[in-house]
Amino acid sequence: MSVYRKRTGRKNININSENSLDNKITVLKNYMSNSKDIKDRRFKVGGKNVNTAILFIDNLVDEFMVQDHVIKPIMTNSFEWPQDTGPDAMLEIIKDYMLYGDIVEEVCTIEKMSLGVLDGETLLLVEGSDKGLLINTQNLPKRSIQEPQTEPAVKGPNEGFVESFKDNLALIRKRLKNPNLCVEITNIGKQTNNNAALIYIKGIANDRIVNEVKNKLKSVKNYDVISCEQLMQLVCERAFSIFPLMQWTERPDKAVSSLLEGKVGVIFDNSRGMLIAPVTLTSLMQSPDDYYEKWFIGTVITVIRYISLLITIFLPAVYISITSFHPGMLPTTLLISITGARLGVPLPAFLEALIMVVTLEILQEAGIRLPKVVGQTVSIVGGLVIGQAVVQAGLISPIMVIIISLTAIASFAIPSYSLSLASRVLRVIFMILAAVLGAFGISMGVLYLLGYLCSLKSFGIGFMEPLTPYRFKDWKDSIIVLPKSLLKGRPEYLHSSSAVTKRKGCSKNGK
Amino acid sequence: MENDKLLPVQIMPIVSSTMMGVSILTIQRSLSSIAKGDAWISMILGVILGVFSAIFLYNLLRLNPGLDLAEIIVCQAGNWVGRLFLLSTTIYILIDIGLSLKVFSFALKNFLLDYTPISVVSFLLIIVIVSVVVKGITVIAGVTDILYPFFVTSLVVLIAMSTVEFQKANIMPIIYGNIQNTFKGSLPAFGAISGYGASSYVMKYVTEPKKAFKWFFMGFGISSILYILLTLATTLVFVPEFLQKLTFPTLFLSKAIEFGTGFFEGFFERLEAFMVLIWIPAVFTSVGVYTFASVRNFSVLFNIKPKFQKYVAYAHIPLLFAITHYIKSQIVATNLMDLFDSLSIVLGFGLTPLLLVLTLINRRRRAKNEVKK
Amino acid sequence: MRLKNKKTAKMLITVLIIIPSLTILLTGCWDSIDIEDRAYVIGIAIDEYPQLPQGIKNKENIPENEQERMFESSTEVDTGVPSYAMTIQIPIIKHASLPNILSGGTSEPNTLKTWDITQVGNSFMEINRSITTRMNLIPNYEHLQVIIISEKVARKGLRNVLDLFIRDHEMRSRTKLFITDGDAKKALDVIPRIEDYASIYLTKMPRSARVNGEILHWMDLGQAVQAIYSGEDFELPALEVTEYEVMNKGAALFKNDKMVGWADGKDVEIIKIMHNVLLGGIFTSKFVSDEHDSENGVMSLEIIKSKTKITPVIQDDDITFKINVDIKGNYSDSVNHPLTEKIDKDFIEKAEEAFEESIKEQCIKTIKKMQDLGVDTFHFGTVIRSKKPSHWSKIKDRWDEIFPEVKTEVNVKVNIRQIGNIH
Repeated sequence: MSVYRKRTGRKNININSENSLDNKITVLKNYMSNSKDIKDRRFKVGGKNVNTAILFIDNLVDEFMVQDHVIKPIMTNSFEWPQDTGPDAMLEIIKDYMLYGDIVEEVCTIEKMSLGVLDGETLLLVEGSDKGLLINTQNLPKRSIQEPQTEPAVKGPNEGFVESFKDNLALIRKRLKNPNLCVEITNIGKQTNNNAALIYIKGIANDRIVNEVKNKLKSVKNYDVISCEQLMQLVCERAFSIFPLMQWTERPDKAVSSLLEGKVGVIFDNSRGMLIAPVTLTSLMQSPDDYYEKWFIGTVITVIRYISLLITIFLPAVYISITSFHPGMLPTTLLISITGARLGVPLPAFLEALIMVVTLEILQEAGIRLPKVVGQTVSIVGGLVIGQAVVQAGLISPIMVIIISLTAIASFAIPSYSLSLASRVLRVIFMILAAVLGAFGISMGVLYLLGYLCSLKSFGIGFMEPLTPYRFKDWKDSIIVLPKSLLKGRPEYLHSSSAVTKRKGCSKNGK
Repeated sequence: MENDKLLPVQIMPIVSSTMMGVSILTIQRSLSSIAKGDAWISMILGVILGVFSAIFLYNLLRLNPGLDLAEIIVCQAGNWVGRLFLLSTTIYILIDIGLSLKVFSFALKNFLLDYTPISVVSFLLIIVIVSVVVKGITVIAGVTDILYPFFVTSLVVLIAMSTVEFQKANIMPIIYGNIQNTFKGSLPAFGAISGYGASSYVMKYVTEPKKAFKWFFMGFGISSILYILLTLATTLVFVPEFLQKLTFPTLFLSKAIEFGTGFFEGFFERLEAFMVLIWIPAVFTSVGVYTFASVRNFSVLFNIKPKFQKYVAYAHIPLLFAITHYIKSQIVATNLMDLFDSLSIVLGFGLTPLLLVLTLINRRRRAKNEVKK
Repeated sequence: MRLKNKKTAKMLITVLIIIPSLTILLTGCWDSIDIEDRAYVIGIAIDEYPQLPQGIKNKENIPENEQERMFESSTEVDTGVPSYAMTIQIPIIKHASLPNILSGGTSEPNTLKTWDITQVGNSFMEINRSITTRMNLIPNYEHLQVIIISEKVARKGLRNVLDLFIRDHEMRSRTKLFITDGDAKKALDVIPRIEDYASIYLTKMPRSARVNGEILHWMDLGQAVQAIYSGEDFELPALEVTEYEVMNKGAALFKNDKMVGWADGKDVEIIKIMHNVLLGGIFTSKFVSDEHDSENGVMSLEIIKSKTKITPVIQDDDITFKINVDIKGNYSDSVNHPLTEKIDKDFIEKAEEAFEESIKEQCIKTIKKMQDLGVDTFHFGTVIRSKKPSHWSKIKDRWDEIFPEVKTEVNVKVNIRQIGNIH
């Protein structure tokens, strides 16, 4: 049997037990492309003259565990072996009496054996048996738990998700010590073989949503995704939507409260965040701080956040339409002031705004990659010199600089990064509409945008719930924030499956 | 466009916005030219007429659950006669949409844009409205839901701000020697508020029809009150001789307001440009729901399967554009629109009771047949 | 070209629709005019042709502006001899005193901040067109603050003059109207010391109506046009123009749409009281006191609220109007009042009576004056129409003759509320 046929032929290939141990190891190593970091160790079972070997990848395993929990107990065993134990029975006895590993699995196919070794487990082979044992000795490199970078909160816990699958699950489990918390793990990616976990609380989450997410995950099983954001794009229905249809969060507290509402979460291996489905516009605009402060302040700040969303999308467009099309809408003194500021500026208002918006985008993109050392200088340069100098050179009017800075600042007030990215695209579209048709163009754009938003569905739940249709009970938590004592049930729009009587005891958790 | 479901509470904004539409901008002129200072009483009478017609409609829909008006006509009045009725209704609705769009485009051109050709304005309106209608009734209802509070609030604010300018002498004496004219004026008033009829096409998609009627009457009530208050406000602020000449009295009302002497002076200049923008949601809903109704009419008329209703909606674009383009002048469009609105009395008091009677007759016949069996 | 699946087809169709419709952008944004490419007309003065002003002998101004002002345009007029001369006032933005220092600009107090252009013609659209031959900016009337009309034009009739301003959609219906004797243009020429532009200065003048009852603050373009349409008589505030100042001078009275006379400040106050629009004002009366009779004592009443009710009493063809005026005010000051005298209840009562007398006197004087002129500024006709419509239908054709004969009965009631810091 040639090696190639073995690799590209049927997946589950048994290793003939007639082959010697060496042969088996060679076959396995060939299957894994003869990588040099796959190590093997041959030794004999203590008290018996039977060859055993372990196969592992040295950078994925904890050497001490391999030595102490696998090799040592087998070598130094003082077991009373019964007469003529076959290799299979020997494997059984080793598993039951000698191995100290906490997870031990019996495998017989080459595919599963290689998967296990690639996962950081140690494969134990005994001469004469075609089965193998996979022992958990995993020690993956990982980052320690740090502050979430994109979603800081003033008062909340500063733990953020890290890239380690187990740690992320642990962060959720330790907040939700609930026996109904259900974790389903699927393997995604033909080449990458990463794990994706679907988390929900059985009995609270709507079964339809759970099934839909499950089916979607199954349907993308063969795609090789690197991170959960790519997974999000594959799983969501409309590929061309600029709005995010699943929420990405770095904070475990936010994740846990979404689960309690009845939403479903997806954690992907080696990704820094967790995906939450379904998502609505109001949940994208909520930030944990609303719940850690007094409720009234939370309401005021939520309102300000909505205002800043409107500002960041519409302000340049409104400025262009008012100055070019409807100067009558301004008070006369303001009008004279703006006209005075624009005297001598060579560009029409639309081009001016477009140039400034593009410059803003360049600055924002550059800011992501700024090395920390140069950061301070560049911000001083960008702010003072560019803003001041451009105005004094007579290229841009000072009003435009104010408007663009307001727009930029407002875009940072939006809690969800994906939403602020979407608003950047919308900003330019509305500017073009305003430049062609003035306020009428903006209003047509708003109409179409609203129509588009209302037709977006995130896993069966409309994107614009609970703003439309009116679900008055749900407004208590999305648009305004009311004190805890008034927040009784779960959001109506999720149609959670638990009965009404169960609602009374479970008030919403802080986010 | 199939399997859309609406909540009962969504009927309220739909009915309310469809009633307001474009007519609310121009109705005071025609009322005032007939009834002079008692235009607001004509409006009240028109609303009372509307209540009767709404009761007919309510009973008709209650007795024919799960069907919209087009299907009811075909089902109750027989295949051929029904299709004849349906054809006339379809043509009426189509022309009504075209006229409303044209008049509103004139208002937009008048107050917002000067030099943009009117075909561009109306074309853009048609495209945006049809593209939202194509997505289905849930989306139309959703957009209406979001825009409805802004619209109603700004109308209420407009009326509240105009109270400063009220002069009681403009409406006195109340009904002196004017009774006949006042009653004559209730006809165009009824025509203006007859938009609620389009809700008969929407009721089919509501999950709980019984509860929906409560919201239907609430929406009807809100719109009627706003209509009456607005007519009252315009008649109180302007003398009747002047009101007869204004093309868009409601928008002129916002021109005549100066918000606070000295406090916010200069801040709310040109309020009417802002008001026209606020009006766009109402026009959108009214035209959108009517377009949806017209799509359904066509589908039932020509037996088109629900899968292809999308293409019928797209086909409305050139149709509506042709209608709006055909009428060129502002005066002709306004007069025609008033005429067509008055024709709605045929629908309200002619077609609906007829269908109701037919429904009752058919039911009795069916009951008799069952008894015989 | 085979389309792979429905999604690609949809995408392709969408792109095919969007790209041709983008060509609409090539035809140009029709309405887009940059903010600095418009000339904002902030004030208009309407005079009679050929009365173009001869310029003001103002030594401090730069001589070239005199040339501008004396420029008589030679545009052809389509129909006959031009009858109106319109002057528009445009702010010169370069010289405006702006809050920001960055854009530079001379802030010498003597630079001319406005440009007044005069053109003649028969209709105002015609005049507008000829104005654009002299400017490189597009005039924009959305910020029109004030229209000043000269007496001669007012006496000829306002209906034609105001038609453009109410019909055009750019105009605001709250534009203020003023009448001046002499040339209207002179009012725009005045450079007020505390404001840059004469038009804005004039617009803000009615703000003091809260204190001064002699300014007609509620009459503006919309109200005037409504009055013309409904056939009522109205009044417009009047200006007096001197070399350095422009002042309010009472009102001009209009019958139908022609001007028939002047009313001075006191009359205006009474008119406002009759219309229930008095925001504030002062009435003086001779001093009253028992023991300390000063010869030239004057005390004044500051009016806070006034309410008037006019009721017609009709006894076969004999019309009497009962006018009940109810005034609440503050006792604001008195000249020559001995500081040692205490103000007590008796004094207040006597003061109230004295004020009532003086106000009633003034009312009767004003009513008589209006009756002599034949101008129904108090809208007695409307009162009859509202309250006694049956009688009105009989006499409405003869109202012009009946009005000078009607009798009036004035009852004034004054309540003094506060007396200030000193008792």
